[in-house]
Amino acid sequence: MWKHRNFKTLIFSLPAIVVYLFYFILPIPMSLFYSFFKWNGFFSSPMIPAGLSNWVSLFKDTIFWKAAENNFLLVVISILIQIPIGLLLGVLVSTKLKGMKLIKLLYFLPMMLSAVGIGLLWEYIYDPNFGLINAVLNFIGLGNLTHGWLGDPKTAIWSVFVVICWEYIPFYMIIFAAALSGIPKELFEAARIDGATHSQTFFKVTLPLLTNAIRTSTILALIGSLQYFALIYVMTDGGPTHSTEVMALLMYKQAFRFFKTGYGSTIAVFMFVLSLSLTLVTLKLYRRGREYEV
Amino acid sequence: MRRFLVIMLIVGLVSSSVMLASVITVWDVWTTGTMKPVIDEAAVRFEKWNPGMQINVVHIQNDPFKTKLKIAMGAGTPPDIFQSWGGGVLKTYIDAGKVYPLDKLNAWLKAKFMSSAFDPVTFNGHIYGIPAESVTGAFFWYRKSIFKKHNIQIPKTWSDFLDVCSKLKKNGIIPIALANRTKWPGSFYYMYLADRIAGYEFVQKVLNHEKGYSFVSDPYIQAGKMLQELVKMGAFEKGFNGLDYDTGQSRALFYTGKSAMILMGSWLYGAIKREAPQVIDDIGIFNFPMVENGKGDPDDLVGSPGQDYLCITNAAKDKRAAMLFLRNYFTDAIALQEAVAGGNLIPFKGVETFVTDPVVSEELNLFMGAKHVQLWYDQFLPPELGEVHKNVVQALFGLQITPEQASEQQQKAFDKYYSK
Repeated sequence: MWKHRNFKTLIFSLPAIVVYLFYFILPIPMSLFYSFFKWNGFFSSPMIPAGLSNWVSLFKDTIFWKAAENNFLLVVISILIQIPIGLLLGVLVSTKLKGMKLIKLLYFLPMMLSAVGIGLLWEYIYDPNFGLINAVLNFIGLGNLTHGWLGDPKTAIWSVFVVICWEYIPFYMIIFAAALSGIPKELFEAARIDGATHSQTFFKVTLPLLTNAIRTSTILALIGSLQYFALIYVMTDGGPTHSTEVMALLMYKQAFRFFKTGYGSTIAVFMFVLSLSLTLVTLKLYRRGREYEV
Repeated sequence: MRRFLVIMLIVGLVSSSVMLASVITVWDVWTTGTMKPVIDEAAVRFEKWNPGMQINVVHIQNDPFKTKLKIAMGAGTPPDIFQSWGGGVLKTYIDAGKVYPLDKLNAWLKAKFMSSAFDPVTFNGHIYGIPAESVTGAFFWYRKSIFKKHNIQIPKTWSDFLDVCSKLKKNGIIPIALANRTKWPGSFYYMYLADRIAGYEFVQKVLNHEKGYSFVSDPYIQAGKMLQELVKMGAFEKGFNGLDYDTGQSRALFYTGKSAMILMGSWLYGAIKREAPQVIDDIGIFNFPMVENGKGDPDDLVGSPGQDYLCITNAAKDKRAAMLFLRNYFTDAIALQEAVAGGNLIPFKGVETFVTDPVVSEELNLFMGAKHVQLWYDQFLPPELGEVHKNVVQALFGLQITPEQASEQQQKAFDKYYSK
């Protein structure tokens, strides 16, 4: 009986497994293999063994390190800004106040738009001549603060980060709201009966019970930020002068624009190793902490 | 029942005839331009004249097109006919054995088109593409009414040009609109200044990495200085390095008259016709001004003698049909007339007889008067070097590097590339 059931399970999941192996698992060793070659990506072109030269160029490539730096900046911002705001909003929309359902929906809107749409929308908002931000600044008499937001390498990366936060905060809000709805009401009731204040309830009851959700969010934020691509590709394409470059975009450019598949693969493998090891470290750190189970 | 059988028969016949048909897939980047309907309708006519043949024209947006084509080429599933800009990128495909040389059409090509039209697609004596869009130069486009209102003459020299810019600025008009996020619009200035200072031959030798010629030389350093001078005087709008040409951020300034000039390729005319037909009569063009004591010929252009080329892949199953389609397309008088009416000067002999529009005719004059047309660096060069060039120029515009550094960075990349 058991055997039969296992067989059925296998048969039904086989298509998914094949696709997963072929498109997700196989490319990892393949990329590692390609990273030791100088190759333009055409199967008809020769693959010239290059030893470690791609890896040497990677570590010497100042543009790559600029990209990595931006990724780490994004990790920090995601964890220190997006998750806390997401948490507060999650708690807020979980309260029984009037109109919260509507607010929840409104806050969730950015998450439902496509990244390309968001990118184009904000490109126009940031437009120095016709854009909303500079128009508002001019209107309230702060005309000297108007700026070419995406055109100045000093402000470009922050301007994009603002949009990334705007896009992803609702995502964390929903995670936390969902986690909160799973906490039994009795715990809050008990806290109230014991005379806990609002902040005491938040820090002593709500927060500890959200540990699992926070952990999940942190890891999602970590991986997502290290592999971030979409909005930067749409809004700045890594410019001006590499100020908003990120690793995934650089990988894409090297492999698909400059015909350097070997080097592109090297970046991909590096990203994979980095994301994997950081995730493992984070998980380990969390395991040391106490877990609250409901 | 009988009706059912008849329907089945028809369905069967139709599907079998589809299976017998020779299907030719064409990929181009004409998603919105005036060329889109031209080729679409030419394909329909071709199908009508040649029963059993089917043409699938797929329009893909410019930058995604480049990626998609590369992946398809790499995977061995490219279209039968694809669009190319010639130069270094096309050469990469040719070296990988992906492109079919048009030797069989040689005599016809030479008789039909202007001879300079094949420069960007000729490698080792073979022609690989047919110029399908337009002779293209980058010109200064200007708003006649603004020039007239402030009593401004068309500048002939660089110092005249600087005077025009400061005069416009004094009157609260942004002299030049520029959207330089994609980097190629800014590159026009650098290419032109170098050409006007040093001349076509010098530039060619530098780009071909000939011994004794380098970016680290007076002409290129001076070009960088003059470009930065223009930035520092405020000739461009704020934040130009972050604006996107593709989404119209510089064109909007030009259309609304907030800025008076824009340096752009011939394709701008088609865009104006579509996007701002109300200003079409207010548009004039002039060639990039000469630089005092420069060695370059002020009639020369930076551009392309064909711009978009159509090439056949080696993977095409029916190459004869593909060639037949291309040949038909360029002998199809309706297609040619429509293309020219849209402002696309396909460089076939006798194109002038189709021209009626004064701006297009002026473009053709400028093009015919040019002794040399320097192909856009980013198409002329291998993709890697083209990118270095564009990044360097964007940094020059952003005043982040000095002209000397710009020259050194480009030369270093060239030396490294050619030492391999």
